[in-house]
Amino acid sequence: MADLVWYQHVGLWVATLMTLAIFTFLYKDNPIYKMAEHVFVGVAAGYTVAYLFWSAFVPNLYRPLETLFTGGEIEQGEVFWTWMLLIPALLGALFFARFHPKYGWLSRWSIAFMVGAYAGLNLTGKFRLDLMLQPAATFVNLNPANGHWNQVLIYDLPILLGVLVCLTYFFFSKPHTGFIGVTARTGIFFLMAAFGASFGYTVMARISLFIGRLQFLFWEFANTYTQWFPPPT
Amino acid sequence: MNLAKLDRRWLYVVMAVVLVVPFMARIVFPIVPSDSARKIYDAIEALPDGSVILVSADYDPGSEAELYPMNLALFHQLGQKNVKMIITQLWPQAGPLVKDCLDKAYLPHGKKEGVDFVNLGYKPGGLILISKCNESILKAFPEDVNGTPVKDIPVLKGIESSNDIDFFMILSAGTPGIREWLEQCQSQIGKPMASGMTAVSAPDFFQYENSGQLIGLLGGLRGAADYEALVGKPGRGVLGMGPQSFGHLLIILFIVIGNIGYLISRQKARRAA
Repeated sequence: MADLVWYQHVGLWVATLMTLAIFTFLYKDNPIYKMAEHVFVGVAAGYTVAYLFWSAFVPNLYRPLETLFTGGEIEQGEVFWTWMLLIPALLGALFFARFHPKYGWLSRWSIAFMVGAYAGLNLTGKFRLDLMLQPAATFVNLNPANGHWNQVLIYDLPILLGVLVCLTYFFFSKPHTGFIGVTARTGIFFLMAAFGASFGYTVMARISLFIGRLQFLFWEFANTYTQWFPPPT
Repeated sequence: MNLAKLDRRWLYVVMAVVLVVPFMARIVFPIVPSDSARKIYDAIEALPDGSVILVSADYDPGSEAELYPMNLALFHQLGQKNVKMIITQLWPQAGPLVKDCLDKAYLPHGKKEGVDFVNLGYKPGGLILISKCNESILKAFPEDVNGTPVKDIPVLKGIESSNDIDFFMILSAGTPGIREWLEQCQSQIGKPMASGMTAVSAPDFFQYENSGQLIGLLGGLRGAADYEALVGKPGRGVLGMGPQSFGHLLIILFIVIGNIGYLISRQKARRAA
């Protein structure tokens, strides 16, 4: 038996039984699966709350304000910004107003601030990332004079054609007949190829997750008690 | 037998057998690393001594099977290089996995915390946090994961913001993750960035590799196997490719049989009509 202390043995058994409990869903929905699912959600939520408190609330808010109010040393030029921390502190506290029916509306201020901040950042970020740099990447060099015929035929030309025919498929201001119809139908083939790639990768992901659990069950759990399934070193 | 009426649990049993047998037999196929994985490996190998690399571990135990092997292989490579490493996490449950990878793959190379690397831990905020790092990493992360003020950590001397980082490697399981890093960091400051991600999200990011916004992309367990092969440390990824390949063959067989069954039943229905 591997050199583990008692709580590590408990952890190993709990993880193994929870894994098997989740797998029971493959037979049919049952109370054991439901129990494992609820325990997982509860533990994940509890862990996240505790971790958030110590990794964000304490170092980013509590300690700077504590230093400010106890007259501790703050770098020059930072005093103003430390005072400004009271604004996110207030907005954060307003979230808890949701628990009070009469003052619940106050939390809308916090939500509005967050939605506004995320929308503003997303707008500029997505504009540059997807609306400028991505179309720019379709301006490919189709000149065969550069001597890379395979690059042009296998990569560059399909990218350019694919973008054009897929955009045509989503162009709804003209009926999809004649030349536009043929182009739009060609777009469907490109879209189907993309969906096929997504499906293939999804299958790979699901199988990988099962393999991950096999690695845990055999290499970590079974090997701890039998030494028959040594993990790779 | 009518295939349409076959209890799907039989398919689960067949799939389990097809995966468990090659897993137990430790069937290993030769791994030919993809160009994409090689580009990442070469880019990191080409970093000069003293360069700074930021590794963001944006995953959790739900994607451990795919991203943990990548993380191990990456730390093996970085452990052999004389570069400074900054670790961040946008997902709260990544912490224990990162620590495990450091213990197994990075620290055995004689690296010292605070001198060769710093683990800044988890912070919420996603894209706001990344945007803040463009201005000041030290303000976004006032302390490291152990509670040490970052201004007292030697490895961070001279590093103010994301502009002072030479390479970004993002291990991403979803949101927040690689999309936010591309949006708020790569597209804003233009520094080299690469990513390892779950297989489910990989098809959504190939275009960023084609456009040069990502140096390379590791997709799922296959990506992990590629990187393990490049680093010369075959592990969970390489050993997972045996059962993975048999699983794919079985799915292909299921699809072929299912379509044949569908065509036969359609023909029968036409005849009956």
